[in-house]
Amino acid sequence: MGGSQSVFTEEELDDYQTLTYLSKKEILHVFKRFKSLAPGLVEANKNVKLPMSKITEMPELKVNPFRDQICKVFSSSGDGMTFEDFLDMMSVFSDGAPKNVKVEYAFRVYDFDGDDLISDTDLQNVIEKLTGANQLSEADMQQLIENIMEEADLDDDKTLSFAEFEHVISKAPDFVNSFRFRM
Amino acid sequence: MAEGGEKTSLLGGSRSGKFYGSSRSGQSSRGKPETAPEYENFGFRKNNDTFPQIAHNSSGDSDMAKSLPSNFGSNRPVSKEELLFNLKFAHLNSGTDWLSKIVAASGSDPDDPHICHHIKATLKDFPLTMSEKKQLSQRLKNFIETNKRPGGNEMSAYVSQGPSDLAVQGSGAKSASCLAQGSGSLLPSEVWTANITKISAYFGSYVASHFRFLRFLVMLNLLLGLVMMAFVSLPHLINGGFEDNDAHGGFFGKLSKSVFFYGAFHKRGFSREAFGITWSYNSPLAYFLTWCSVYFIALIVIVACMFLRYRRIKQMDYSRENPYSSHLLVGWDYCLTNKEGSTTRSRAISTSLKELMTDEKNRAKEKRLSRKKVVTFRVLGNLFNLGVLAASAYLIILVAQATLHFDDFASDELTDFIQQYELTLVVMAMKLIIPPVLSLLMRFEYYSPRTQVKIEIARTALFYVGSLIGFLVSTYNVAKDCRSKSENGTDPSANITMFDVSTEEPPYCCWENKVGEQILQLVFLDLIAHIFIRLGKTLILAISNKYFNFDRFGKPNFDVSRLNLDLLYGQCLVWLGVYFMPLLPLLVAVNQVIIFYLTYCISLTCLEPPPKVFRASRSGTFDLFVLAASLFLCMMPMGVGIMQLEPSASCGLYQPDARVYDSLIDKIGGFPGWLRETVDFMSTPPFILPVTVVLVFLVLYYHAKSVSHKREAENLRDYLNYTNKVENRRMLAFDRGNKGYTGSLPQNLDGGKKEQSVENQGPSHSSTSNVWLD
Repeated sequence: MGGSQSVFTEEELDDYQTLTYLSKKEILHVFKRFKSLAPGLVEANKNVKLPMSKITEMPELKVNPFRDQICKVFSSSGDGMTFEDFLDMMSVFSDGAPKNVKVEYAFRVYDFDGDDLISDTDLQNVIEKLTGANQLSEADMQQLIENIMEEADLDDDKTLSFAEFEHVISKAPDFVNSFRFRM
Repeated sequence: MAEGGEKTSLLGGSRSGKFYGSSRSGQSSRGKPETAPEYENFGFRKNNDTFPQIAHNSSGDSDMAKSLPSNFGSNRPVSKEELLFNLKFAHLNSGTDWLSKIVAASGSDPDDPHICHHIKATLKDFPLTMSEKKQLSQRLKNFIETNKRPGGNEMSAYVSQGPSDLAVQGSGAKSASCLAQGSGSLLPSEVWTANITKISAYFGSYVASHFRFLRFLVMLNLLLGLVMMAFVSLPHLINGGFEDNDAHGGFFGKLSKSVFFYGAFHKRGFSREAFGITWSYNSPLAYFLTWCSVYFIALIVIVACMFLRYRRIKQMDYSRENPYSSHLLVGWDYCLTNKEGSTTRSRAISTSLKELMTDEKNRAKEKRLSRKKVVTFRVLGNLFNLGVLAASAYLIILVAQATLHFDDFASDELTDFIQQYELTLVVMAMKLIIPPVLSLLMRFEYYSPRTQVKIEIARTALFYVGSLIGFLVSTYNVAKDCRSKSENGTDPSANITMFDVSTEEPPYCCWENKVGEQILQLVFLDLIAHIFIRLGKTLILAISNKYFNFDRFGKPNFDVSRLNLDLLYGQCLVWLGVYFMPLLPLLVAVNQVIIFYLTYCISLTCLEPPPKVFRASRSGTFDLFVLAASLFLCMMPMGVGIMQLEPSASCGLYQPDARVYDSLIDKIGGFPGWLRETVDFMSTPPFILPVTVVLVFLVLYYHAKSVSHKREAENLRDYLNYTNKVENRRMLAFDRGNKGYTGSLPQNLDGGKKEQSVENQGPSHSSTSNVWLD
């Protein structure tokens, strides 16, 4: 922690602390992890934008099936993440983030085409990414999508809006525990 | 904004892209002056939302969300609620100038300018990018500085929320997550968790439940063994040493004389001097009471486990209601960081999804035959089963009593060998042959798959218990013959090993030991048969499949119910034998550990996931229920036998003329008078009969109550779904009517019909419950 303390001014740290769910110590720890992804580049310029390929080498993201989508959601410019984006991401995935914020971002992660709705294709993407090597058969997949729509889609428009998504997720007590990164 | 517990009223469309997209792409100026005052809380109402509702609709609770303001781009004064609502979807409208909107909002309500402070304090909750947040925060700070009001005190309350708020949130979240992780199981059963998780990822939770059952039995046996050891064996060891010189060796040689068997125990209690006080230990009473308490402990533990598991299943109701969505959307654990964990997890998710779907398909499958035919078949089937049970019991008794005379064409050793082992071999053969035959014949009874598994398990368990009890009785009959021999001096028909002592003293005749030895034989044979048959069968099948592609006999896979029944068999042996061998539970626990590792290794290397994937009971308590029932069934003959039969003269703790429970009665005789009279009264019919009747009535009453509660819960759930759908439709229609929207409408215009059908399907989902990684 000693080395990275000098990178940020006290005011900046204060700012970050107000704007995220992390404590100052955690923020510095996040910076350390960001730096470890590409030490040379970050040393030179702490606001450098690292490309997605480097970000997805982080252990939590490396094995996560949704890593590309997560990076896309949190990236401000669409093609890479600065430290601030990274901090944003770690803040949402931290323990301190409230459930509604997590649900909000979870919705954006599952919304692959970014149209603010989870449609059939989005669900299909989710299933494919989740099952990975053990793919379901085509018929099974269709049946599964149908079942999910039946359970969750309450206004029968064949898509899940945020409210419907939140309705399903909020009843699951596991969600907050599973939607986080361990520091 | 604490997590957890907030209720969001559910609704559809307000945030849906169709409406939003219109305002994003084409800024049509559909100015509706009436929208501003009509805005209420936009459905995303949180419990601790401080802003009051402006207007109420007649629908009260379920608020209607309107579409977003059409004139979003313009700078007209917006209300606070509208602003907060728009901020929630800031990520969809990047590039807007939030500060001006905030300024406008704070300007619109001069009495309450604190919207700036509020937003600044809760800026982290809004989905802006970090740079945007920083910018906005800076600009807000400047704005507040420049527009400082005279009432400075009120503002400071908003400003200094950061650190304390964070601390409270952080600790709250951390403690909640700690509690969530401490989900309890009754016994200290963390031992094989990693292995079981791996199994459940590969094969599903149904197969993993077998391993969990095995683990439960091991723990139970260890507990019972420790109890017996503490109160029976240890005092004996302290007093008399490992072997008893009075006893004679039996089938197991020196082991039969040892503390493992009943025969080694001394007749009376003993006393020791320590610290100036005489400690006396009433061995007979201790033995009897410990034996009784073993049964009670086992019963209580099993019932408590059933109860807790059932309650845990009921609490996780969400997965009952929305199993698919919760598995898919909440299934992934983002905490995973290693490759193996993630592959396991993804495999587990796909297996459980497949399990759910097969479950549903199986439930839908019901063979429709003519009613009469089915009923006749079923009656016949049950009668046939009972007949088989009776026949096998008779066969056991016959074998026990008859001698097979092989003298002419077999050597002495062979005859000896057969004589010693014949009974146990017969029982073992029956156990292996008859249940598969019975289950094959069950096909003709046309039960639904779920009921079929249950009935199969129940019947086989009954068969096992019956055959074991028959075995016990016949062994006793044979063993007690030595008593008549010792009195008459004649030689009755063949017995199990017996030492012929022709002296004046009555020969050593200890039927308890003999019965115990037979049971121990059976335990070992069971283990060996288990290992060899399981190993042999799966290895042969696996090799033939892999190398020769010989698929005739099917792929080797798990038959969970059969395996559970094998475990049940072992456990019944424990319950029947614990009187004769105090340390039997420990021995069987060791056996079960061996079987666990064997099954684990075999299944991971050779087996494939079972094709039929459904559970016999929703909550996994059916196995425990069968276990408790068999415990009960085993208790009865043992209890009757111990109470009524004569203990041996030459060995053990009790005199032949007295009964075992006399030791207890003597103790009670030492109690004060009033206690004795009460106990006496409690054993008379006028007390027992009314108590039984009252208990039966209580059971019926609670059953009726539970049935009516269940029905009520179903009704409420249907009603809830129905009202939600009605509200949504009303809101959609209102929106459509309001805006004259001609974009893409929802597909189902005949909403009513779909509503009905989904309503009817609602309860069907409630009967699937696939507990997530129990």
